[in-house]
Amino acid sequence: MTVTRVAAGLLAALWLSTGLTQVQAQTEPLESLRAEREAAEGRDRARLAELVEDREALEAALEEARASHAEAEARHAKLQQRARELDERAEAIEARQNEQGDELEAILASLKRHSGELRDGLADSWLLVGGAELPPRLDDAEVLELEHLEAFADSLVGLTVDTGRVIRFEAPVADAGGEVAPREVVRLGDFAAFTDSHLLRRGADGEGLSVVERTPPEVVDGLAAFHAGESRELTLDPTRGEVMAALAQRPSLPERFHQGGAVGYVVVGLGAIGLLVALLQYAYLLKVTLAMRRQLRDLDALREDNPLGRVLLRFGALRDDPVPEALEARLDEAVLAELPRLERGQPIVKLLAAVAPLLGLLGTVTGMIVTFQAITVFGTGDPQLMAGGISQALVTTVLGLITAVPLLFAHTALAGRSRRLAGLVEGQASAALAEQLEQRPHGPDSITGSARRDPALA
Amino acid sequence: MGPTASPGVLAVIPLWLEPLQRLVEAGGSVLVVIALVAMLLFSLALERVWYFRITYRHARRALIARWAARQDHLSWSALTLREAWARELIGRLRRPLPWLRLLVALCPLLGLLGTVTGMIAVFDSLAMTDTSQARAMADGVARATLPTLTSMAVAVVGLLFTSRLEQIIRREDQRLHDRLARAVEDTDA
Repeated sequence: MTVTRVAAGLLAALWLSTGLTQVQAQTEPLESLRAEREAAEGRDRARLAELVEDREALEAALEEARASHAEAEARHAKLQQRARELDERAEAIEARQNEQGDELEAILASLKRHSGELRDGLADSWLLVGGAELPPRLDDAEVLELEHLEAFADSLVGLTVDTGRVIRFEAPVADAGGEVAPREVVRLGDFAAFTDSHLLRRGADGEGLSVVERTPPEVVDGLAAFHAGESRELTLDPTRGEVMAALAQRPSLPERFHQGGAVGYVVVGLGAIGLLVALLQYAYLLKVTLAMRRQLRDLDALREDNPLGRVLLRFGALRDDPVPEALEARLDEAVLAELPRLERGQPIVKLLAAVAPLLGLLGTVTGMIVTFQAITVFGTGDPQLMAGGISQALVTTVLGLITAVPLLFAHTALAGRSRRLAGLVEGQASAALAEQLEQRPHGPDSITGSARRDPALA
Repeated sequence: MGPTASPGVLAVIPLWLEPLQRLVEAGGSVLVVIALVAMLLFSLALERVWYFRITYRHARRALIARWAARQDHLSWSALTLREAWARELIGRLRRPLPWLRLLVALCPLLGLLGTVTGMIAVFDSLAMTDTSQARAMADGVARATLPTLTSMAVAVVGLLFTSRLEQIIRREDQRLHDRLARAVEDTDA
């Protein structure tokens, strides 16, 4: 049997080798291939004959093969024995596990679930800033072990204790410009963390700390004192930053002003022009008032630097006109000539005070139109968009009203002062005319006149 | 400040002022400004009434006496002098009236200002919150109209005051002239 097997093997080898040589010899000349094949066949035949003839060698090979077979049999038996032992052990262990298994399985599953939930729930908690550790995930644990339970309980208690503690530590904090620098941070339990000037928020990766941009100023004021330990009051955001974010969206006063847009700038510019005109005119009126007071104290020396002096000087030039009516007309003319300078600027201030609210209203209406057009085009049923647009549009009305109030004040002040001055000029001029006509410069009238002018000085 | 203030603070605010406090809370800071304007307006008006009753009457009596003491009551110059004196006196009586008118005119402006700022606050909060609460918005708008309401009330009362004062002063102007004329008749008679 073995002889034939060997022979067959040899034949197969021969066939294979001839095949190989055929493949290799594709490039060679045909003659050399044939010669090679014939030589190989010759060698094989010689070896086969030699083996068949040499029986002793065959016997020896057979013996060797039988010995190795017996050895393999022994190893096989040993391994089967070992497998049986292992199976028995496995069955024993499984039996034990089945005895207590269900409860422990349930405990392990629940521990896995809880530790997972805890990690997910506290992933963005402030407790992790400044050293507290979360329990490890147990997803790949097969068998419940005592360490798992102990670690979980310990970390849970540790976290709970940390929620009631205020700790200070140094940590790298990114400011609004993106510069990272170590700052002293105070962490309040699970509520918040802050430096002495800003509230902090967790970075996107949950690792780094960064300041909350545009923290409301009233919050910042309390922070510094609290951070230094001087005050016991602090602003907390129970919504974990949502309220702060909303407050940060609230525009500041300059931003509000710029929301008014072109109309807002026009309104405020007109108001500034009006106030400037009013201020200049009021300064002029004050100067005139002082000059007139000087003139009133000293009516004998008439000066040209004030309306009263000018009127009286012109009147003095007309003194010899005999007809009182003509004299009065001349005097009135002189007084009237002084009035435009005193009332300068009032019309424009009044006009601007009237125009400012109207312009503001105009801005509001155009803003509303733009808002509603946007809603028409984009068709969002989003009231937030509309509300934002309307609140921006209303800013111009506010600006118009705020501009109108000081302008109205300015106009009233101007009108009042100019009217007083005009009345003073008119009264003094009339009195001078009357004295002139009575032709009694040293009569009781002059005394009463001066007595009457005294209150005008006040 | 709010209803949650400490009891010590609450004890300071008497019970009858409670509605007023709630009004200020509802209306915002513009309402306080309107209240100040109203105080100024009415105190000015009352000051005028008081001035008219006391100071002005003394001045008027002195003026009539001075006029009656003159020998010449008929010449053109005397009449001009009388006119100037009367005008000056009435002018002093009339001096604060423009300011009163200004304050009355300011009231509606301030009311509108308060309303618009209130509206801006309402719409801002609406734009910030995710939910569109029509109820909260309606409440906010209703609160925002409070300053307009208040200012209109103040303006109406102030207008009554000022127009009444103007009327009194106009009548007083005529009366003064009558009295001056009568004083001359009495002395001549």
